[in-house]
Amino acid sequence: MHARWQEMLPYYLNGTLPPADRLALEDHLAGCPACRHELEEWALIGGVVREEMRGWVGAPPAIAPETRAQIALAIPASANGRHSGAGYPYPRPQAQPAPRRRLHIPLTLAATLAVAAAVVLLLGIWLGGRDTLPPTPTLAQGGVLPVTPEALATRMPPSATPWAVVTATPVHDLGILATEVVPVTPTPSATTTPRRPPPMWTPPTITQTPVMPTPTAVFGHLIGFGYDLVTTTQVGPIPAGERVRISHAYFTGAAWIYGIVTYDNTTTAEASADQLRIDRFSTPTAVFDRALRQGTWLQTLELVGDIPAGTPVRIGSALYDGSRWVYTVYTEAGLDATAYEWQLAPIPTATPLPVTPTMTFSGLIGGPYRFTLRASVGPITPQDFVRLVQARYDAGAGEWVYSVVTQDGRGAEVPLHLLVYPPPSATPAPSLTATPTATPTPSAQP
Amino acid sequence: MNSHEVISDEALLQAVASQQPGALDELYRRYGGAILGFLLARLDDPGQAEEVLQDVILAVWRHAASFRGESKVLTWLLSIARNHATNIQRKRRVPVVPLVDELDAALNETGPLEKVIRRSEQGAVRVALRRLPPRHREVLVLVFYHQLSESEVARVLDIPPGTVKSRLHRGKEQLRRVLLQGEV
Repeated sequence: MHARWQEMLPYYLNGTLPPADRLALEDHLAGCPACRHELEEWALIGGVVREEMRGWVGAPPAIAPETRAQIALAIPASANGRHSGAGYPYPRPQAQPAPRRRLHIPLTLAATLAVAAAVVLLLGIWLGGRDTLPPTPTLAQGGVLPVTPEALATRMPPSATPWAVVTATPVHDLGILATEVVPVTPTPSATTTPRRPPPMWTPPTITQTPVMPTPTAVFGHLIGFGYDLVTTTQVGPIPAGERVRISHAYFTGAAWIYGIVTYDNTTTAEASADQLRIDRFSTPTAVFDRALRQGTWLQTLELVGDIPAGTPVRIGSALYDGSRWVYTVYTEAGLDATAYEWQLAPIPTATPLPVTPTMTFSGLIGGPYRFTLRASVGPITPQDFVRLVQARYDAGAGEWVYSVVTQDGRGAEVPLHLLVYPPPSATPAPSLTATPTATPTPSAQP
Repeated sequence: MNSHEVISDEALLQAVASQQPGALDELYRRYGGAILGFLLARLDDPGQAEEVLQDVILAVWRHAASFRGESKVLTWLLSIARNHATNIQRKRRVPVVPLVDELDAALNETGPLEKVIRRSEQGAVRVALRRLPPRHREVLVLVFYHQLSESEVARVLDIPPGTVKSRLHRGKEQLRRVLLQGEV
């Protein structure tokens, strides 16, 4: 009967039908007007749903300052030994039999022509005898969209919200910034959080939130990167002269507000740019750098992930997260986990070894796309701008190696000697949040 | 970490688990809208949806390490969102008025859906989708907005595939009827 074929139609349209079913369905559609009619109805509904959802969702709100503050203060389950979802309350989905392509054109050419012709013919008959309203976007999208590559490519467009605060100022400006920051904004209250405007649900005509150009955050490059700031005045509960780091930042429409956290991680407040000054605080050398460099075995002091206390481990990589070093450790049996310094100790018999140099660009991991390469590495050429994603110390080569990625998603591992950080005169790379149509935005930086 | 996995969703989630700066932001940039869309469809209350969205972000950050790659990242994220939405629905149980169910008996009119949609003004379509019971609307949304397969929809909602089928069918029929009603 048709029931089985008709159940497949929504998934045929959304491109998730397994290839065998797809081909069988296309064969069936070629000879079944009833199912073609049903397909057409589903296509219309699908178009409406997509279109309306885009309007409803609009631009999702930024991660709330309260959430960021909790994130800044909390320790994830993995770092506490509650690893691998043992106590995790959510059901874990079953394994998927085989990966499949997400975006494909679900019709062979012949079948496309056959079905498209049928649909057009059907629509023509349909529309011909009825009122002759001009075709609406809804009809156009709903009726024809699912069988065109353009339509398939429209699934879940990335948000255009400029909430990300990685429009960082180049770090080579640091010295200038430290002495020449001119407050351009009124001082906000350190304790009140500006409310987001109420989300749009009911207004029927608005589908996109207009996005205001946002000036660059003066301290954007420091977010999450360590205690490089000092308060210049009392900020809420935090006294003047306190060393702080930035947990988050947001733009109120008039000024950037920075969430700040004290060095002991106990007190938070919100400050404006003029309540902070830069006071460089260099990344401390990782306690276990020598272990990282020489492959020395350490041992766990407590349960770390799935690794019991007292297990010999090697360090795979180390990352300074702005407040502490985080190590990826491996056992001889191949288990891995994320550990903090206080969860590890040298095995007493290990010989002391020379210290590894501190990672050169530790403050720029996760920073802006401002690096270039001296030579092509993998898919990346010297013309590409890249950002640093992760670093590991290559003990054999005696050099830090950085995982880098281009803005369009090409990745490679690049040793330090091939990385170039642009001099102050270099043309800035496109910002992560810049949109092609955006007009040049005024910078808060003088 | 393999450098070529850097940009995959799975690698990104690993980066979140190991607290790499910016990783959570990037994950949110990719999927914040998708999660919010699901919550809007399910909760029918934008304020509540945004509130739950923040809870979901926090839960993702805390539990990223428990993701084992046994499903797509999107499916996993939406499962978390469904759990949080269910929790908040339990806490604040609001009587649901099954508007559309009441119309079922009254409306037997059938006709080309295309004509109905053409006639409806922009607002009527949105209203029609809004007036669907959330359990039917969310299935339509997961299929056509999130573009999940039937088994993925079943996983996200924690219901059998047969129920996905029937809800999808009911959702379509009800949308048709609501749209016809919207003409009046």
